Amino acid sequence: MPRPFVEYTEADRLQWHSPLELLIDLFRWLLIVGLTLLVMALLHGWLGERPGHQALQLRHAWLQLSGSPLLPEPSEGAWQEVELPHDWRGLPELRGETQGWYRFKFNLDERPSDLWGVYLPSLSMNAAVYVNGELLGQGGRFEPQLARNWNRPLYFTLPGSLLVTGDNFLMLRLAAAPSGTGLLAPVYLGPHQALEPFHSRRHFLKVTVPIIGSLATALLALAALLIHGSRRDERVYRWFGVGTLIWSVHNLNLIVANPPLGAAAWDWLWYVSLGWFILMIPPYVHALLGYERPNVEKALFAYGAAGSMVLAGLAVWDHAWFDWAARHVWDPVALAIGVYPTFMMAQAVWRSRDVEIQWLLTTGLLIFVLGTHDLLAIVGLISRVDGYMIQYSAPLVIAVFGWLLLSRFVRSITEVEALNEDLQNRVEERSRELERSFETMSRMTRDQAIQAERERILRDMHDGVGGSLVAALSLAECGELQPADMADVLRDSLDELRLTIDSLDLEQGDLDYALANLKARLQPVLDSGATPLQWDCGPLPKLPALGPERLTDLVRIVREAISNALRHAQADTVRFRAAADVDSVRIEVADDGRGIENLEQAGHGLNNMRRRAKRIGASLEILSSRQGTRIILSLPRQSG
Amino acid sequence: MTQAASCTDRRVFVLEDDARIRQRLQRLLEAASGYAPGAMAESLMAADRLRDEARASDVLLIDLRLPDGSGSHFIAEAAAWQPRPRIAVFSVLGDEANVIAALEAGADGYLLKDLRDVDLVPMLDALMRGEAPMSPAIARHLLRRFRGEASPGAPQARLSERETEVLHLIAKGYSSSEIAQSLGVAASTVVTHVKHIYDKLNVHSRSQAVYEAAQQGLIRMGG
Repeated sequence: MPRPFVEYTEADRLQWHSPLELLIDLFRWLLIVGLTLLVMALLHGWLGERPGHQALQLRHAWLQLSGSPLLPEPSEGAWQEVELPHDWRGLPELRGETQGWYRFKFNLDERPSDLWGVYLPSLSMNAAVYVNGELLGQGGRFEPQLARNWNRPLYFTLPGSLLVTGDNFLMLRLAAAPSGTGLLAPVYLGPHQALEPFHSRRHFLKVTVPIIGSLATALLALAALLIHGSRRDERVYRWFGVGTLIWSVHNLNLIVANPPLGAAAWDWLWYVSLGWFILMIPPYVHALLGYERPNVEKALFAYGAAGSMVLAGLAVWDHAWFDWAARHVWDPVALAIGVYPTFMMAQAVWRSRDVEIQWLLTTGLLIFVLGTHDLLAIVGLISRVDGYMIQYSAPLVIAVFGWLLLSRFVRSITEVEALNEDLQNRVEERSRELERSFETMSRMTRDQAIQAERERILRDMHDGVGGSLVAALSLAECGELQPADMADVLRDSLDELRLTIDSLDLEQGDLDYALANLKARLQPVLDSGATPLQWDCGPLPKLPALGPERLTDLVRIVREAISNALRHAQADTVRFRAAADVDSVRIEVADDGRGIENLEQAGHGLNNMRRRAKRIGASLEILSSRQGTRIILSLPRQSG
Repeated sequence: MTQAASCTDRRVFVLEDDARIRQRLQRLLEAASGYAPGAMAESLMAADRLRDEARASDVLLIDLRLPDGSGSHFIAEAAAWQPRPRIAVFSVLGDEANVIAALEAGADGYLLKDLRDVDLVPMLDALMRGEAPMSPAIARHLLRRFRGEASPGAPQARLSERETEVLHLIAKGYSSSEIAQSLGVAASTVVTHVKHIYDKLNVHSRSQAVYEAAQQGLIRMGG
């Protein structure tokens, strides 16, 4: 089910949980019905307003049906006595005649000296007024096209001098097309000052109000259609726009006295537009309430199309037949169709307490009630002297739908703003979360790195300075330690400590620098010693696989090799050489000393070198003879 | 062993909290030709009291880690004296971080505390000649600095090609004589290059600023 245009909460059956709720519901219904009745009463009052004692009411007349434009003599022709209001509908004596003369006789006690007027509150369709043989005026053309004054009052002024003390005569020519539409309500005659305001008010109500209403509905219709143009899915705008536009067209009949079309075409337009306006209401209500009933809508439109064509045919063939069919078939069916959306709205109001639905029902009910009134007038069940009323529901329709549009617009904006705010909040919340998790992660990484570095340094101190000090301690405890050896051992310990500190500064894979640092550390020993060290370090590649820990291992191997050579080999020279080829880095420490006596029973130092070489994935070769010792460390460039 | 101090001997002022090391230095300096022990202070407070003696000295040997603060305060102060004594940091480990901080505070060089007895006089001689020792670690630090890690806006001192070459060789572990050999120049030329490099580092003129920065805790110095 599509989303209803009006958002209302629908319950299966209205539940009254408290007397207050029941009271509220009663009040709502009272409001709906009461408002409708109030509008009816007001309209009835306004439209039924007539001059009182200030004016003469002429309601007794003699009628002569005659097409002649010439003022008839009272003695000529057949005059019949009639009482006003006089409705030509269904008059058998009319026999197709479309014009007639009314003759009124009235008595004045004295001749008035001021300006007087003749006021025709209701007539159909055109009239010309003569007083004492003088033409006062007429409401437009009598020849085709006949002016259509059926919805407007007429007023003519006359100088008091035209009247005489005693009997006076008012002749009124009335024309109608078709003849059945003829109507004349009582005529008023009195002082202009007293009479004219009645005409002004009635003209305002009958003509000006529909003009304003029609313009407003036309504008609202265009607005709705424009919205529909950009929001095709919203059926409400389509049906409201088309419906009110048709209504505006329909209202032209109230406003235009001299239509641009022939009488038949104009009448057809009027009836058909009313029918189609009502046919637009069911799909509109479907859309409002979110119902999907395309078959109902199709059937209604099919009926509307067929009916319009039949009426068109009748209008061309015979205006009287058209008039009859329009009034007795087309309009009642339209009204019956109007029951359906009114019922749907009432059902929705019954099921929900939504205020918007309530106002929509009030509008629908008003249209329905006023339409019923009009239909009764059209078919002749009630007087049509005061005309039709359906047009007076326009202001409420405009107000309610305009309010609906506005509130929906405001709601959309509020929703968008809320969504935006929500989105922004979520984005902010998300970025805060990300920030937090990033902080946590970087803290963990940092902690991990610190932990790893700490472990590395501890291991390094254990292997390095720790080992040296333990060796010194064991020597000291055996009592074998000479001051010179002691100095050597302690210096070793300090050097180990420095290597550990230097390792903190090593960058990943920077073999070059690690060896250079070692050389600088050894320099004081070399400077003071007797054995020269040849240092031959070729350009070495970066070895990314070697971290500070492995670099330090490597440095220790080299240092151990060099200090063994310097201390124990009794060599003339010690040579250090480092070079790289495609696959590996080769580091060699060679001396020309006496060699190592028994490699198998080598001491702690050589074992340490082997262990470290294994740890860094290098091969260690120790070649020793009486001509010297060569220690060759070979390190694959891509060692894991 | 004892040699009478001649008036041409250079006075060495010592700021060192360890009494044994002070005694060792006293002994070595009394025996050294060309040098004589000056006043010996065991704390910053003592050094403050002995300032006049310190100003009258030719060489200051300063330990950084003192019971009442960092020796770098005293270095920064002494670097501004006229005439300016030679200042050497007396360091246990000679690690990069401490040595560079001390050089920036105004020290001319550093001596390791575990130096051999015989090495003291040659090292003091080198210090008096303005030959600051430079380790691969320091060379590497300077290479980085001159590569453009100096603060922007400050006029950037540029190393000559030869100076850069020397720095690279030091960073690779070459000694001064090896560098001289490899470049085909006299060893003294290499020493001059190193001196220029230190000058360009501009440590001396910046000593006051660094001292203040250290005072404000912007730079941490230790020994």
